[in-house]
Amino acid sequence: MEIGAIIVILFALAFDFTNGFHDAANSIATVVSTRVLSPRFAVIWAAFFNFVAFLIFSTHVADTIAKDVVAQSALTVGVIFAGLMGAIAWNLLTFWLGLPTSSSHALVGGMAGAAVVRDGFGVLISEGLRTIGAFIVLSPLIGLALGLILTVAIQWAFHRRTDIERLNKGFRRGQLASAAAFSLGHGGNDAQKTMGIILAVLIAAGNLPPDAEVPLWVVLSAHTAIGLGTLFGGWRIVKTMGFKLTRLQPAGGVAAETAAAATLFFASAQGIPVSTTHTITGAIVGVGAARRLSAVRWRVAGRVVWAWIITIPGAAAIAAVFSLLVGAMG
Amino acid sequence: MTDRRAYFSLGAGLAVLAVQPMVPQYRWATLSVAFIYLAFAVLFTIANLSAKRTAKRNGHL
Repeated sequence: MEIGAIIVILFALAFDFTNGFHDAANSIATVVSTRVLSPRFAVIWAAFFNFVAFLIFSTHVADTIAKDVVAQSALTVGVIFAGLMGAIAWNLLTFWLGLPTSSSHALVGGMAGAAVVRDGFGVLISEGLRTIGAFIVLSPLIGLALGLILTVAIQWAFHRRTDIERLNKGFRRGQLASAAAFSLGHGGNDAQKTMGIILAVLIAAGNLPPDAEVPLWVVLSAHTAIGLGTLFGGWRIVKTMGFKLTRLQPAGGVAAETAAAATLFFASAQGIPVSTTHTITGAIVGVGAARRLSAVRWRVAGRVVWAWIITIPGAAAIAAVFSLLVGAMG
Repeated sequence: MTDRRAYFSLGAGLAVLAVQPMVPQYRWATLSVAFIYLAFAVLFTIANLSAKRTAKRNGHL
């Protein structure tokens, strides 16, 4: 394997780590904000389920990233490197600003920007990008709809119960399962984006044929990196997701995480790279909105939406600069 | 006046319907989500009307 490909693979794993650091905080936001687990145990819990997700999900999302965003003819090792650098820089910038943006869309935007600046818009695969673009809107809305349904169902099922303390205790236990399910969904969808990048590099470097499947060592290393990223996860975004969007009770936490997990399971099964951040945000808003719209802090939700809109162009622009620099260096 | 949650649900349902043509392969999944939102819009409207009627009967309005 050539040295350039090895360097890009190491950067891809670093991106996966930052993804865990940046996005995986969402896995534990609700479980920490409802005080079901202490922050330290919540992080370990989420990291474990991030890692074991490889036992459950196939690698459809990795195939989409490697083969359905940019034409394989345009995906050189240099372009993939520039795309990754754009995504990593964007992730770090938004982490510093405390914005819960999408690492996934930063990656798609980065790859697209790095390729377009070299070979023009013709290298973009419109069908793949259209599906990813549609699910930028759909994944939070599906999470929101499921969050609404579950919250209303829980309210309806338990509205006669008066022993609130006991009920909360039950939901606290339930939240351990729902947080685990969400972490599985997160690991299943997000780690695969890195696998897709590594697969693309291995194909571009000639180490694998264009129709190759994701090798097992790639699967294991991607899940290890995202698990470690979660373990060292950041707290600024936990604060925005868990405390600022709406106040959550344990029942709301169960509803939000279950709704988001179901959405992620669907997306992973269909091979659609979606943002775990978008999905859990939608689900939390759904839980808040089922009570009353004023329970949602719309200014914070609006800031989140604004961050979604600028992620793809922002990451694409940074990656384009890196792509030009890599091209100039030969 | 209708419950604001009904307007919110209606808006979300229309947003799903607007995006649906971009993903014809997920027609049934997206239409199901749009239907859920429209059902919630109706549900919230009925709940609001019912709450107002109860309040009026009890002399609060």
